[in-house]
Amino acid sequence: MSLSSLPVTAGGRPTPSPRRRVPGEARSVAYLYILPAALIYALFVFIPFIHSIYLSFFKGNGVTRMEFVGIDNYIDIVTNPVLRSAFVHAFELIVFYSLIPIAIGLFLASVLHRSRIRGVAFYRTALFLPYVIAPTAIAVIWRWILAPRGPLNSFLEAVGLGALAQPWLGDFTWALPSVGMVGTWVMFGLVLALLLAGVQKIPLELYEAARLDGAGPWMEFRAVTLPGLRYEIVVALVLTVTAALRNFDIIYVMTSGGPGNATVVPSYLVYQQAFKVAQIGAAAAMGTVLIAVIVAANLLIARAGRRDA
Amino acid sequence: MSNASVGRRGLSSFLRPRSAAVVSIAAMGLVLAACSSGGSSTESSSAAPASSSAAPAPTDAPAPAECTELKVQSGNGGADALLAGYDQLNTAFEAANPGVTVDFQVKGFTELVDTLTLQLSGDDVPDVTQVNQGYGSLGQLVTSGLVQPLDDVATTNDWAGRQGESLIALNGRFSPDGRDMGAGELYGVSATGAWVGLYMNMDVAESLGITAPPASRDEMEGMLAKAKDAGVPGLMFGATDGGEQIWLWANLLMGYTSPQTVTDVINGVNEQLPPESLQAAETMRKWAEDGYLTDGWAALDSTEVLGMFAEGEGLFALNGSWNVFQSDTPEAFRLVPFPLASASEIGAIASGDLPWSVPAAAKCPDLAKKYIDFITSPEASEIWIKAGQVPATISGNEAALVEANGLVGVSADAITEWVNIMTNGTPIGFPDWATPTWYDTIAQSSTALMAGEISPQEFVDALQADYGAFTAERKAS
Repeated sequence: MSLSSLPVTAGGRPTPSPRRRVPGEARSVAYLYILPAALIYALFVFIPFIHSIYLSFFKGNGVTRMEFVGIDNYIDIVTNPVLRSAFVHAFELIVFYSLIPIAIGLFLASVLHRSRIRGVAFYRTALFLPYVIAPTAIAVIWRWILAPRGPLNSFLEAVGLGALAQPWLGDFTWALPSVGMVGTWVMFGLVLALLLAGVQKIPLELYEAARLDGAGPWMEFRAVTLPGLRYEIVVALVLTVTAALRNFDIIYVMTSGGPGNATVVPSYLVYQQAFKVAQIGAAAAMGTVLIAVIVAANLLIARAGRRDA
Repeated sequence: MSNASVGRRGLSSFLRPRSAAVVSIAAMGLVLAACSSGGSSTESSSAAPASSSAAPAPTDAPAPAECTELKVQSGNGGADALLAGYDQLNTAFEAANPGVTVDFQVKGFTELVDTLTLQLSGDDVPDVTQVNQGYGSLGQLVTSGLVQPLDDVATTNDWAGRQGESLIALNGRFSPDGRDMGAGELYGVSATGAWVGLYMNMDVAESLGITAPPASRDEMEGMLAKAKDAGVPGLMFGATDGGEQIWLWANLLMGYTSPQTVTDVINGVNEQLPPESLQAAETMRKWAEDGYLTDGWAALDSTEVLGMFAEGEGLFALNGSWNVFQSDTPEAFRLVPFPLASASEIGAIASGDLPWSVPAAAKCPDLAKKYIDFITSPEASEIWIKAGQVPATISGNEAALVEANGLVGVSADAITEWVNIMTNGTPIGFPDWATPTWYDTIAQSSTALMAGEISPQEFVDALQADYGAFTAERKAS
């Protein structure tokens, strides 16, 4: 995958003002152009979405008569500790999916742009690879690595750190961080690629000016690199926070929410309630809340990005 | 939930490819539609030649002219030996009913269970399908009027005489409104048996000075302690599927009460769990704390643990008869009922495999019933044993057939101990049939209990909350 194909400027970088309409051209014809896409979108996304919001006010299995229960399903999400914990876990995963990769990425980007590293394109590609692999495959691989008799524990024992060996995915303390670290591994390459591309566009003169004003590396980072990467950070946040919140495949394959409920997340509960226990209304409510949380998180990120500017 | 649910749950869900589609609730309607129609693989039944000697005698009347094709749907995907048995029976059924072909479709367990309600509420339904037991599965189909009673053919051909009324009742009886399980009309019957027992490595036992399987729970605890002192894993245990914790709790509860009490729990006779539930929980906690279980049990799954056991690791394993394994030293392994309070009492989670039902909208219901009658006949038992499977129907010839077919070790025990449980003991169902959510509740809470995250009382409270709420609601509805 070449870097130029990344949505580097999708975060709202100002684009040249749109081409003016040719005088006399019918404006309404534009709607015709978007009609096919709009129809498909409406049919497969918008209408099912509205329908699932509707379903979220009912209780039942989706086949027999559904009973109207008002906002009971939503009250359940707030009061039921398991359902609530799913959202807590999703927010904890943001640390691993988003904050840690961005922190590492910022550090590396600010170091790397100052020094010339041979074969930087290779490293960039290598680090980006995890993001390209299917999440299910990633989860299978990591489940094997983290198994009680898997390579990680064998390695720890081989180097005399056997005391640190854990049944990682079966431990109530370690399961969520273990799954989270996989997220870090996946997201880190994406974030680094974004930030490296961004940092190269910062004019070197700014750094020179900062240095002339007596800025050290930290000041330089705060005053030049960080503001210069604002849009890239917003894009990275949007992608990684969304990935953290809607995480399903990795949890499903690695832990199925276990041990106990230590790693349940909202998407997993949507699946479980819809298909395992046939509570369509509860699943719809959970999904609706999840979408609302994701939209709210993205609005917040976008606003923060604007305010900084 | 039957054998496959617990045994294969981990694997089948692990291999299930469509998972990501479910992420978006926005696409819910679409996904539901896609699931109900797609993904089944078709296996033709015509491959195996008719077995001339074992084939049941041709049945009298030919099928009605319009029913020349019988659509049969199985949820035993992946269980090749079992499917080979069905293959032979299908050929024999076709031979006995000239002009009829059996279109035998195979789905994975999870796929079957997740899509059955939607499938059967559509127009294009199979004539015969396997279903899953329990309030959450068969109960829901009965409530929704999607399956039809089989009582006429069951009475005419004395199914209760074939399998015993307690097995018939626990697998397929429901009140017509689906509100009460274990009594009422018959909506499904199993062809093969599936039971949960204690696997034991007699070579390891001998090295510990143990000569026979434990006769009581106390004796078993003594053996576990002995194994631990010798540095041998006592009970090979894997918790990620959830099944093993559920079986362990139910087996211990059965020992502290009686098989009938646990049957009442599963059928939801009372809204309150028996007080001994706490004792069972305390024992589970104690076994985990005392180091009787495999290291890392909370991160191991049932299949890999049984694999380790079959390789010679550990003294006991808790698993299903459907998972009997091949071994270089087959005679070293035994499969026996989990010991209860004393040797005089025999009880086990021993239901049939996924029962066979006739959908309400089946196009050939009479032929469908004939098919079910055929695969559960005493003559069919012979074919099942030949295929190395446990027939649900007791013919009385099991011991001779086991020997004639050269079955030894756990393969022989799976059949002979099933007969033992059915004739001398009490079969009970799988505990998670009690409520649609109990499987997950017990699985999750017991992992927390055994890992020391919650107390035995909190464990019982979690089970009671789920159980009490569902049972009360069911009775009130």
